[in-house]
Amino acid sequence: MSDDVRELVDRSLRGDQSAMVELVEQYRGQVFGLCYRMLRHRQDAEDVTQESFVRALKSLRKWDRQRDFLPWLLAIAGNRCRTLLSTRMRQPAASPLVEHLGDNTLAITEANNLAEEVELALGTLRAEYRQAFLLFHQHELSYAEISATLDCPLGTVKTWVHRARRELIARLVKRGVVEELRHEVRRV
Amino acid sequence: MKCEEFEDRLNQALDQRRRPEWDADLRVHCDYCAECRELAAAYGVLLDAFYALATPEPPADLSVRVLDELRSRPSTSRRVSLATALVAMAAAALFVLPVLHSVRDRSDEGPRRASGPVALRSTQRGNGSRAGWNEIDALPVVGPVLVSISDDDETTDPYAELAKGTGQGLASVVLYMPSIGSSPGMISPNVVSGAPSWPQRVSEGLKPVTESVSETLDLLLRALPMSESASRS
Repeated sequence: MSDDVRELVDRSLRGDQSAMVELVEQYRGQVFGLCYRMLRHRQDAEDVTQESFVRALKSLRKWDRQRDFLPWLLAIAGNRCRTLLSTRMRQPAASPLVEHLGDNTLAITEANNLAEEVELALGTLRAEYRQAFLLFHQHELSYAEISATLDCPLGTVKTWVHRARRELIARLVKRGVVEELRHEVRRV
Repeated sequence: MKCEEFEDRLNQALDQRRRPEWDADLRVHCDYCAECRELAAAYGVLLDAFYALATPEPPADLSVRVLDELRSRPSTSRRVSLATALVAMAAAALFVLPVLHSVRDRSDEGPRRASGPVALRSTQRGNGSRAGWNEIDALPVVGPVLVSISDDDETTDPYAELAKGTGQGLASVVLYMPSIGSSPGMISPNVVSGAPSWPQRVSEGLKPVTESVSETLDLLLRALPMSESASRS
């Protein structure tokens, strides 16, 4: 990790607001990207991104300076997303999750291209699978970094990413986006 | 390579951020196995589509919103300090208020007579006023200490009775806790093991520790605003 980030963190800890702004500007795309893909709802993603930065800035002292800053920041954002997702689970009526669209024709019409289908399929994944998948493929974190970020064993992270891939493909097959596979898919 | 191994190898390649076609074994297997070729193609479709996904831009005023939010919240350190101070005051009150209660009770009721065979010297367990303890001081204190203080002149506590019989060999300590109840009570330890235990018999009016603690905290919280206003003045 570059020393620039450490310097920004040091300045932020001294109360330098311009350093805080720089930190937010530097990482806002990645944090918002994760939140948006996790939550699939722009307003929620904005709120959670803001909350994640606020929490991160308030607990900068807890950041382990030996580690990269981004995984730590994404861990905070991921936790906030999962908290919100679990809240949604308890309030199904307010949930914007894809499951509620079902496999009806209207949904197919709306999601008429592959990208949208993949995005819809992402919404059907379990939160842990989705987060691990996004951290690996979207943010290009290593398995070791994801393991530290999610605070779970590396093998578990691998399993989650593999399951995420498989379930996404199964979803695409179900939606007719990908042809029916003859290959027997083994359980991970 | 067998078909059963294909998907694992495919995932391994993707884990290393390599395209499946770069793996010679996978490529060769796909050349003669249509089913595995379909599977590899499906993975390719998925990841190509995923990487093509456009992420919307984050709000432009995010940093402003974050700073505004930071300003609107009290700092964590201040909250921690306040919490620490409250806990410290509560802990202090747990020790101080019972003593004050004890002093007040004794001064209201006059000297209380200690019963039981061996009395505690006030200098050894000085948890209150010395009023009424002069006569106890005169008693010899030998071996394990037994303190029994009760509103009744005659104690019916079995352990105290046992103590009477055995004298100095009794390995028991009865703790007097004037702070716990509105009237003093006796808590008997486990005589056999010598380990403290909850009372077998409790004087009327003796309250559980949790209740006493919550009362004390309540008293403290009621007293807080008064303290603040007093400090301001």
